[in-house]
Amino acid sequence: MSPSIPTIPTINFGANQSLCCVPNSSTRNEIQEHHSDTLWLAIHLPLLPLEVFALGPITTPTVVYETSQRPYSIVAVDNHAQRNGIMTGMSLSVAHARLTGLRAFIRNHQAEQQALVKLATQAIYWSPNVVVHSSGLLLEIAGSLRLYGGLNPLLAEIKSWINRQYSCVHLAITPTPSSAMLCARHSSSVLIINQTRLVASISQIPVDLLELNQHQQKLLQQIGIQKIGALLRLPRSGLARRLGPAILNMLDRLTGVEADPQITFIPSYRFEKTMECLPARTQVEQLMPWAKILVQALVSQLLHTCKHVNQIDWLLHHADQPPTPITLRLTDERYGEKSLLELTHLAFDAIHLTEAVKKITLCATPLRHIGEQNSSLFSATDMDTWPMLLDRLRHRLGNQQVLGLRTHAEYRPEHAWSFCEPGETDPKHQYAPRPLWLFLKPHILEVIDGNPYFHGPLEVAKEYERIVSGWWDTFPVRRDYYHARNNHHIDLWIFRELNTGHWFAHGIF
Amino acid sequence: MSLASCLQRRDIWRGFQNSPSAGRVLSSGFRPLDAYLPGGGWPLGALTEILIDDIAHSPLWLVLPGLLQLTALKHHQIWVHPPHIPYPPALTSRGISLDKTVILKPRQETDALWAAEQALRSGACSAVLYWPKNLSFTATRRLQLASEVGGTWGLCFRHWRAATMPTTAALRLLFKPTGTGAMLTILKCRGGKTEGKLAICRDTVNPLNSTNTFDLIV
Repeated sequence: MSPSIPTIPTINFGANQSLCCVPNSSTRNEIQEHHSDTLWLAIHLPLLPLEVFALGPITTPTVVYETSQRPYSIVAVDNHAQRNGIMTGMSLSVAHARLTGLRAFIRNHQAEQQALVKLATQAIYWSPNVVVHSSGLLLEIAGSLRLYGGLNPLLAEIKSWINRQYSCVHLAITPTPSSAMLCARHSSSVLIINQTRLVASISQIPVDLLELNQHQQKLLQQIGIQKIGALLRLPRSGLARRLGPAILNMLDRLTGVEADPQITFIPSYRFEKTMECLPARTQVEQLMPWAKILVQALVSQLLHTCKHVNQIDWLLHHADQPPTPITLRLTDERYGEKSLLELTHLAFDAIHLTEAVKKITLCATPLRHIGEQNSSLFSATDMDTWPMLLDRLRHRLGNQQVLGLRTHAEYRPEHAWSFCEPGETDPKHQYAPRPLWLFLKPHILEVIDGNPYFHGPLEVAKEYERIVSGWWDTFPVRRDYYHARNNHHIDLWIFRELNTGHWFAHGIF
Repeated sequence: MSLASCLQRRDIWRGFQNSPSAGRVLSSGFRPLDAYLPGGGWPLGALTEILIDDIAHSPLWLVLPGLLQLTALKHHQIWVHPPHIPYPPALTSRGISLDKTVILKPRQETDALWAAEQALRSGACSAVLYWPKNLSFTATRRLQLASEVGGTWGLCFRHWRAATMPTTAALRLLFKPTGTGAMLTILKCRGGKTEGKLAICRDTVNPLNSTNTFDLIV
């Protein structure tokens, strides 16, 4: 493969930008006039299979090979191996034969995909239309030109962003997505913003860079077609007959004759990140720096994606024991880094770490859109601080210790109420006079001379309230409730069990 | 400094004359008590201690009118470590909104003190009711300061034996139930008279004289 072809303009996106495809006199306005409605930037990472291994600067010749079919073929070659004559597409055994001491890794598709997804999540910063390809990304940038002040500033920013992460990057800008990817695969930097120049530019690209199956490639080889230009010149009906009708569609999409809809990347907003604590920690205080880094990462993702969390999950991994999960439920989604860290600290304090923590994971899901909740314009109410207080209490005391109260439409005093989540509302029911305090369990009363005692003899009112209920379930009640007062002037709510005749105190007025 | 501005200072005590600048107050709902307390009611943004014979028999009826007024302001109220269940049917029928009421049941006393202080300080609550097992002088100071910061009505129910212990609460009174209501002894009252005794009547109909009989048979 030749490194560059004269008709394909090769540009340098650095400081001295020479946009060969655009006339020298062109200004930004002219660019905008000339270019088509869409402009696709392809980012191709030829060494991605190698770079996902994060090998660092090592002088051993290294290759990555594909094991999906035999013979194993090499898909990525580093500089040292390349200098020794190893090329992509070569079979692994040949490479070993050529070079002793060659280091070879099996291709890790999953890691590559993850790396691309990570890049795509960041690339949303430049354009809302990002497409994840098998070996790179496609960004529709025509809509972003105005925001970034034209093509050159945007390209400079994108280039500096991608170069920080990958050493070998091919960029191409063309009016159609598939031609952009094709050009990027072929050459390191290409800029074609004019639709009319597109066909002429891609004509010189070899056909084996097209995504064709083996049978089609072989057929084209047999009929002597090497460049895309030659393929485009063939009669369409004959081409469709020999290679199948799909190839016409592919060529039309390549040249922009037909629309080429792409599946836009939608980032997963789930956040999950793990950090290793070296050496392992047992003190909560010592874990906080790691927690801080994770919370910062989460908060920055939330800011970028305009999302909120209503729950975050911590996972403290130990050496031998199963990991300790800690869940933080957030009443208010608008917490910043400081509040999240404070709640995390409280929650970590509440568990008593016995085992050293080796790794610490932060997950957040589900995440919701900002702006579902209105806040007051003149913020002077308790609404801003109440959720924070509630969360603080919950995380230090535990969820079971922070309770709301609710009533139920029931005659049995024990069933007429229950604990609930704070803030739950329920319809109001009508009740006969009830005591302000209810004993969790009725206290049995001593009876002396037929008179019940509660810290002294009780003066019992004559009137009573009979409650007979629950005979249909496991808690039948047959009681007569009386008001009573002892000699310390304590007003009590007492009842006599009708079945047994025993007296009980059940509440205080 | 003029005399008037001098008298505005909260730390200037003018004998038996109630200071007009006693801070925000909340009517207690009992006329003798309101007349006695500086400003005419429970001091807001301060700690009130109520000492009783038995903490389990805390007189909710004494503080309920105050809580009711605060409920109307749509603020939350937190009850830390109540001795029994504040019975929801009774609370709703007296007008307390349950969705604004939160009960805390901390496992440890230190947690309870921490929670009470947090709630008082946050400013998110209108009232915090706290039933401590023990309360040191420093703890009362923490609670009093937190009440001041949050502008919250701090209420603390303690055993009468705590009367001998110093406190920084703005108001401390001893509660003694009587046949008609209660006898309150003011042990400490910032900006007001001390060592006063006053009788208040429970406004509810004495249940023993009630003529209503409920016969609910299901």
